[in-house]
Amino acid sequence: MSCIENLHKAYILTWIGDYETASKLAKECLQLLSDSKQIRKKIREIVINTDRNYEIAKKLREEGITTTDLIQLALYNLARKFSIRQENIVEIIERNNIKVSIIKNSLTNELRGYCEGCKGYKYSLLKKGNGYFIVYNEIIYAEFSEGDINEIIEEIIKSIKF
Amino acid sequence: MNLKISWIEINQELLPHSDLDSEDDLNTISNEILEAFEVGGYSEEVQLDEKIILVASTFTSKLIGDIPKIIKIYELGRWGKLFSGDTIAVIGESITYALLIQLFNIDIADLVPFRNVKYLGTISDLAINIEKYDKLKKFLGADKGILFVNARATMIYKRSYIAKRIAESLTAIENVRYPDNYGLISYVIKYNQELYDLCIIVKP
Repeated sequence: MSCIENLHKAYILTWIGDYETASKLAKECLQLLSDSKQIRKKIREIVINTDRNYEIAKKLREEGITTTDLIQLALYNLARKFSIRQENIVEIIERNNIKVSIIKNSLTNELRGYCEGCKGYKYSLLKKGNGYFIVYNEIIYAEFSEGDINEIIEEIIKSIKF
Repeated sequence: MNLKISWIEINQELLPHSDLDSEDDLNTISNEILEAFEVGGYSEEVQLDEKIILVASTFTSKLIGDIPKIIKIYELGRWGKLFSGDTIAVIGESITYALLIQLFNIDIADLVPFRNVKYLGTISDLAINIEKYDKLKKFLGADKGILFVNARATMIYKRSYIAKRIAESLTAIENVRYPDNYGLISYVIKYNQELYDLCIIVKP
């Protein structure tokens, strides 16, 4: 299901602060899963009319609510959560298929990034700065205390070509 | 980071599902599980890569950074103070996700944690398609199905508290798992000054 991909991407994008794209992706899902509201209503009725918590599982199946329905409902609600906020909280730096944001304070800089379609695992100390970076599939993370931000982004991007 | 894993497997038939069963069944099972953990010890020791924990912490439900450092402090014990519930939850989630990535080569592209919508009461923290992963298939002895994962952690080892939480998790996971999928409850516990992960597998 493309919605799982969308929400996975939205998860990482909200982590780097790109709410704009995340909410767009989530909204696509909302449309695809719009029949979830009926499932929610049906579940609520079953839950209200069940005496004990442990009886819910069996009752749900007896009333025709499947595991797939429950996953769909969860995806729908997650999408709704991601769709609410629409403006970015930090500046997003974009290079080709990479999105990066930086959280600065006077002690350290934290770089968080998303690399579309990347596969592989790399950890290394930074040459252009004082710190390290980790790239694991689509997730980029770096921490450094000094160094030029643009040079560091370039260094990470160059090293990503696995 | 060194993590001792205690695998405990239970069959779904042991769990109460209908009005013919009683609430006591659930309490008995949770207590038996804890006893098996205390007596049986651990079945496997894993060296978790701290970098993977950091990557896995991207998918946790609360905004907390520097997870590997926090886990180290957690490992060292009560640092004069205790961690709040949110932090402990994030420790549990991060370790569980990192463990799945390392042990079963779970692709992070498949991680869509539902922790944020767990209030629905009918979903677990994670759902993994077993078919995609050979290691997981071999481990569970299954060809297909979904593995539902719940992550938990606790700061202090309090028996009655943990037993109650296990019972809660079992009920929650049954709602989405029943009757033919698989469940995993991963409970990160500090026991005898060492870090354990009590992993309860529910099989159909």
